[in-house]
Amino acid sequence: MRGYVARRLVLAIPTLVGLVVLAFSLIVLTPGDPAVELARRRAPSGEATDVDIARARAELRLDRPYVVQLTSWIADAARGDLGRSFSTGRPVAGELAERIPATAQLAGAALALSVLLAVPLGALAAVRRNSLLDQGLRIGALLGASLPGFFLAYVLIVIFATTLQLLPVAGRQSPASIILPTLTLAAGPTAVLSRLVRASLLEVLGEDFIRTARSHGLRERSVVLWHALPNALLSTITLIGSLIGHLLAGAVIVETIFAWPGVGKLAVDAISQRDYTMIQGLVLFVGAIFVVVNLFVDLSYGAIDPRIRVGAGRS
Amino acid sequence: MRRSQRIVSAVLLLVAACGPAATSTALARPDPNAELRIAAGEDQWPIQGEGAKSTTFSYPINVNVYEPLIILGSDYTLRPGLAESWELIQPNTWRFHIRKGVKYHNGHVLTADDVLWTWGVRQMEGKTLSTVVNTLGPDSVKQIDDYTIDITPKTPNLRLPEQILHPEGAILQRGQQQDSQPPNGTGPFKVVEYLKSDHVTVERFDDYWGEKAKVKRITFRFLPDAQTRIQALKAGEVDLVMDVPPDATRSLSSSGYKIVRSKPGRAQLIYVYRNGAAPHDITKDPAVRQAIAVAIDRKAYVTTSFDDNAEPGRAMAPDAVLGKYASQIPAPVFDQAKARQLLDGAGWIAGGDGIRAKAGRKLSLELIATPDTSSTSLELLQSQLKAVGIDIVIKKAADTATRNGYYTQNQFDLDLEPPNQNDANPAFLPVLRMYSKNSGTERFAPGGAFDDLALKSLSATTVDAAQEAAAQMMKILIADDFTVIPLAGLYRVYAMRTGVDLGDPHPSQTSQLWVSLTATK
Repeated sequence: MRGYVARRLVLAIPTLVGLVVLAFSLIVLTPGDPAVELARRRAPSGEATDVDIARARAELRLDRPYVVQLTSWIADAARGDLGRSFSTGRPVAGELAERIPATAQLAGAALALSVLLAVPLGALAAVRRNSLLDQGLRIGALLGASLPGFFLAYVLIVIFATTLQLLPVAGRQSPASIILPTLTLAAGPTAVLSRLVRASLLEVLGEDFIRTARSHGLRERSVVLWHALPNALLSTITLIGSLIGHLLAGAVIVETIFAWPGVGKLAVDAISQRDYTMIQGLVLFVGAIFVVVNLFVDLSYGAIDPRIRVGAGRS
Repeated sequence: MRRSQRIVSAVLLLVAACGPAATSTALARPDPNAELRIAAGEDQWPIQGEGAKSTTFSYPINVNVYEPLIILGSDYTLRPGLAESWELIQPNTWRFHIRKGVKYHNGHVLTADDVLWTWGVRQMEGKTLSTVVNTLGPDSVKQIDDYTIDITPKTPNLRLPEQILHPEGAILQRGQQQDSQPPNGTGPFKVVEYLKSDHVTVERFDDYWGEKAKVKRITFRFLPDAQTRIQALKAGEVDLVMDVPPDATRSLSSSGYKIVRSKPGRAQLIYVYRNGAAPHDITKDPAVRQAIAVAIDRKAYVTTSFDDNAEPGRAMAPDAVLGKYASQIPAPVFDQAKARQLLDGAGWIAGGDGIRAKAGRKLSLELIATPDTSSTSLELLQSQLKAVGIDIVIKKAADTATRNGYYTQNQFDLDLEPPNQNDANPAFLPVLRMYSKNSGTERFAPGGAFDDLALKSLSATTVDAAQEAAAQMMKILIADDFTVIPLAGLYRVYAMRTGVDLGDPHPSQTSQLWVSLTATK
């Protein structure tokens, strides 16, 4: 197991390096000239002179060779210095540090809710295949997956906040504030995950070892819970890894509607205002989350299924 | 006797009839201890951590906490703020007499030293109020005594009092910055709690030098999404909503909420690219510019686009800022027959598809618009101009940077913008965008008599003379040269629950005062 973990950690390094290069290259590859953009923002009239642009170019180190720019940026990033936001003038790392906890809280709650709902619902749908319950869950999953986040958000607000007045409309002031944004954000992932659990479980329930377990006289509940479900969940772990991306993308709209002060809203503003340094920081942050989550997914495979770590060792 | 009995009975009946009303009047008395919650848009508090570069321009509280030397009245007149009075010492020095006995929220007493620090050091480093700072040199600000300050711009700027009243010019206590928490101000409210992107709570400052606030406490909740703000009002989470979208006013009103509209403080204008080069040189033709101006039905435009939460556009600035001279700018008259006639006369002949062409070139124009412009507005303009044979290609940017890209790279013929009038300088907008002595004006500057008037407005010793020159400048742009097409004057719209009274809605959002806000018990 130790060797498996070490191999996975080593394999994550080139991914991280690629991510860092990509994040940095955004400032070079995206259309427009960041130096012009920065100079224009600083010019009192909004029209930058050649001197202003040259000064901004030097400040952003864009007047140096690409490799020098890259190595300087990596060195700064390693020290936690991601530059200053074009828009606010504040350090990007500081802005991200302020916003990450709110997004982590929301995405974490939505992920937990998705898993807690999707696994039992998917399992129920599989066990009671083609029943009324299965049909109902299928329709629910279809709605959950297809309803746009902003629409669902407004529907939930009108029902639970405006009409019933059970929950706050928006904000992050009370523990109850997280419920509506979490429900909105979790709807899509829950739908997708529950369908996958259902399909995987149906596939596993048809395998030989399940027949063997049943032939040993085990109760159906034990067969499903202790033999079929753990095997079916292997494929869903991969999906959970990729759901992180869905949650972070969904957070962009959900955070705006519910006034949730996370990185989603920050991303919208940064892209809208061509805040290059902030976009770099966000790409780096989101990319790093992906790498780390996928690393954990890989490691959890090894922990759950010995065949994977043994197979990986042989190859 | 009978008659007197009847009179007594009538009086008693009258008293009885007045009884409940009198009681309800008593109940409806404003509550000085009221604590109100207001839904505002995005948190724009620019705490930047860069000392002088940060500003106190923090919608929605602004002048309620941080006061400039002069206050912009809701009728765009100048009212004494931290300066009791001011005077021009010829040829170019403005002397401000600082109000005595003004206390900051931490008890510090305001003196000219704080003004010297704000304008002589902090503003010069940060250049937050650039319209003023750009005219100042290192020695422009001088302290005469404890309560007198002289400001002498390095270039003549007789509009300084009308500019310095912008909330970005608020006077901070010497040495105070806005690095992590709001600093002290002198305004009628003091900040008691601030949670970034969530809310800011202000409380009545009982030692305020001027009119005291009529409510004890206001919490501004930052809710960027307009629909969320409205739902917060309906859910009873807030008492008043700012920036109500025009299409929501009817339903809110029919649901029993009070809608309050300010006078226009923002105009929606089309700037016509009159000095462009090919392929954006069609609008160099004055006949095309005039045809566009008269082909648009502004009444239909404000009704369709803003649900009557605006009025048909007439000038570049609110009437109040131009004083009695506003009426000298002739309102554009909707006349599509005249538009066709103008285009015919200029050699633009309608083709089979209804779009005109001249020498093989179609009369097709690119219109750029800010991301928040409604598609309804743009489509209406498109259809109205198509009716006279002008094809409009809409380039509505998905984000501000894309729109700015179109603009700076001159990829447009018509530029739709909603500029604000946040100071009292009547010539602010025409000078900023069209005065050829300013940088960045080459796209629209008509030059000639316009420039003479711009200089006249900037060097006028009285507001009246500046207003007259500014109105004449706008007349050139709107009625003679057709470089600017005013579409609408936009109201600021507020919705509130019964029992809340906004008082005096300011056309300029940055100068909205909350002192007259009341709430009944």
